[in-house]
Amino acid sequence: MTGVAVIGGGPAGYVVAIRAAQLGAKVTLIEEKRVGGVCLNCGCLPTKFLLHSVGLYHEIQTGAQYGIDAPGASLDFAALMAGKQRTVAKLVAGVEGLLEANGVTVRRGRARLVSPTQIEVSSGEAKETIPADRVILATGARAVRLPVPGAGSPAVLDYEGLLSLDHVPKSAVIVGGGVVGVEMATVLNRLGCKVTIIEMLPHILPAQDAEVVAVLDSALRRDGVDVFCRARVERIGEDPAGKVVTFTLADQAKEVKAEIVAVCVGQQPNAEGLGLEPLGVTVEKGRVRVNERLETGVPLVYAAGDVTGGMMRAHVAFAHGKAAAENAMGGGSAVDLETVPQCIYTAPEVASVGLTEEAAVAGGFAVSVGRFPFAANAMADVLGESRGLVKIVTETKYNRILGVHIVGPLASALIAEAVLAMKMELTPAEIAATVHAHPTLSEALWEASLDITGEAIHYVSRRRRARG
Amino acid sequence: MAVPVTVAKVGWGTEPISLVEWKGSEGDRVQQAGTVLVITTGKIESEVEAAASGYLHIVVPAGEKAEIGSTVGMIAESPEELATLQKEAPPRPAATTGAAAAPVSAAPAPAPTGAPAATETGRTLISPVARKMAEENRIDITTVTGTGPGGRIVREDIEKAIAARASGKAAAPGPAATFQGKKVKSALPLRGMRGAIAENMQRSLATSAQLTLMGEIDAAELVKLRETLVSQESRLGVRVTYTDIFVFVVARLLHDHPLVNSSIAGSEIKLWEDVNIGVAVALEDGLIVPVVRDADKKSVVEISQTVKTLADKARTGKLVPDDVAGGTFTITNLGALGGGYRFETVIINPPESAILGTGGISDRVVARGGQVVIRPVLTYYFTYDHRVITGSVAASFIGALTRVIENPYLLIDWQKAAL
Repeated sequence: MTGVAVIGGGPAGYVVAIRAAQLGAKVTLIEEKRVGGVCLNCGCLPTKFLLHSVGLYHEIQTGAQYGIDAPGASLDFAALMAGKQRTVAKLVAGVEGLLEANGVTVRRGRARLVSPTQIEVSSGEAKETIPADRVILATGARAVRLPVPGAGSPAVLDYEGLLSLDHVPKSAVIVGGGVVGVEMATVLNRLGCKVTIIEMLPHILPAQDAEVVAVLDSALRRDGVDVFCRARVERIGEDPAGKVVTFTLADQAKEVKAEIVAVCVGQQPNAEGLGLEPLGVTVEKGRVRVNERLETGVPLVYAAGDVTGGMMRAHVAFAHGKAAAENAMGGGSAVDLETVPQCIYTAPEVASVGLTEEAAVAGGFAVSVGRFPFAANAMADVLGESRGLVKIVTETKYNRILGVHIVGPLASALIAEAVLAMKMELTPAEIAATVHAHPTLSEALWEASLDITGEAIHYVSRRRRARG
Repeated sequence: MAVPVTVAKVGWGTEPISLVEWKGSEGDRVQQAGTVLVITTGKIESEVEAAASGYLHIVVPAGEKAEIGSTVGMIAESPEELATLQKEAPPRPAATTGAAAAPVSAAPAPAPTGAPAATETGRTLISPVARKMAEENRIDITTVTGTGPGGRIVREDIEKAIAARASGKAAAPGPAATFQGKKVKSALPLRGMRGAIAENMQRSLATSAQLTLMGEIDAAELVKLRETLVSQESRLGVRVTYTDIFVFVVARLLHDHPLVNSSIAGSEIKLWEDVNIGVAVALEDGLIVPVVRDADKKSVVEISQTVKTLADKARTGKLVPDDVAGGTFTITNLGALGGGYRFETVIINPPESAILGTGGISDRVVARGGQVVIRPVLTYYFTYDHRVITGSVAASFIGALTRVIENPYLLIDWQKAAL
């Protein structure tokens, strides 16, 4: 029986463990804290819980157009956080149950590789070396610290700190307008906190399509969030009233004061302290280098998920974990990351797959774009959320879909059709030839496909108008 | 105005015709009166000429069947008209059944032919993007191995095929390719005439009970007869060949050996009144059997003229389906190929029941009247279907043949000679 040791019990690690066990391995999973990783404990899921709560609260508050009048509605923050904790606990228990049912042994402790087949597990003072036929590194990532004065202070929060607040702050500065930054800004803003986002790059959600982001940017501003882009944080200080963030905007020094400051500027792989370099595992820019089969280059040692850098998403970690386990057990699986969707649960939501229009043009493609605004979609009107659009980026020669970008209601659910279309290499013609139910939000993708040729039904495209 | 490419009615047949090969790809420029399409009835191939010069739009891809008279393509006057045609009726990739198998280019193909052929399942699994790329880059998708789920051809596969071609290597097994561990020099598509031969011969051996009777006939008088006829060439207007004489003789003998001139049809043996003798003609890249109709009613000169006409048509690809249809018996004269004293087990051309092969005429040492003498000897090999023809029937037929060949003067009253 092949003995597989998995270091780390997050989305990559627990999937590796379950998959390897399914394939007949004797699996030991070593986790320092709790299984489920950042995603379950202090990332994706607790954030979604909070976002759902504030979204619901917002709907009740703005329910007048649906005849709902609930003057006594209030949000009990302590109850919300307790509810979030219950859900997290339930999900963690679920993963623990799955591991147990698959016969995976979970060991508490910190792991270090002594050799490719020996792992030292330390828990407090106790140390033990366990053997393994295969090792899979799935140690995840942690929040990056901002290299400016004052950022190291314990009073400066990261996403973990934001998810453990004991009260709603009156005001907050969020440094970093990435996924975590805008999602937490949405939560805090709807809880009544005055939020300021400071982003160094030209726009928030730098990896997303500029046109889509512009919709979210104006939605955030209209909801009262201050957004500064192309702004560099110089230092984080304190005064009696709270925190002071000093930043440079267009060569002007500016400062903003707030009760709390959180830094959400990205994730740093956990590749240190594992004893990797002496074994010959390549660690580049802090991440473990792997090939598409998740092999590290050192025989019998694999790595999966955030520790490999790249696209740090739980669903990428799942795909990595499955492939790494299969390869460790003698298979030949590779991961295809070209059609990995990204979902951002703001108001409105943002979701995308593939290349942005800018990236497609930069990549040398002759690009055609089809758009459809939710303002012209009947279901979006019914739902009272008609901000946003669906945007399809194709290359003109073969009509290959290079990317699909959605900002609008339930974008996170709508993107699935686009992901499948891209994975199956469909062209907009096939989407256009597919009947989409009415009234649904999914019609927007259908109409955007038609718009590639200026033939959307419920929308007069710029192209057609220009033609006269 | 665009003009259609139509599958013309050829001969009497009404069977759908198979499209073997388009002589150009979608959008290619074609010349008026140039060959634009090769079609086949399963027996013979025929060429379809372009009615006008212009840009080719393929409606029915190679490998599919089409009704006689139907439009299988269009020739557009201009690229704009072509685009309109393509929009109205997008070019279809090959599908369905047929004799056509995956064409494999033998040489590094600068532009593989636009004649994708059928797959076994009748469908080529390919993503829409890959299909578009293949069309634009004239990649024959039947030569591409799909790496997607279930062997589906995906973008990457076409990209590799384009790259392989750009780097001078054919995507298909080229000169340096190996197949089943052996190096491949070239590959010939098993379709059209080749496909028909393969199918007919296999079917013949698989569905009938064939055996071959072999022997030799003293040919001294035959040689004298033929030399006499050749000496009269200017009078007769044709140079009579041994083949012509064999057709003439056999046609007459068949009347009195009806089982040799018959076919099994369902639960019956049909004894043919017609005597239509097929004459095997070797071609550079195959074999075709045009039929001398009513050979029993034709003089040797008429037979000679008919055989010559048919052979010329065969060699220039001008045969029409009727020229190769309706045979009741076949003669293959391997002596015409320079054969000597040798024998082979010729294969019946179904649904006929027998075939006569003749070898060369060569001088052999034989016994005659107790003396060892040298005589010109003709070898023959008579393959018959034992389901229809018994050994005694075969022996009787060969006995009559031997008598007439050894003594052609009997042809003055061939009905007596035949018995």
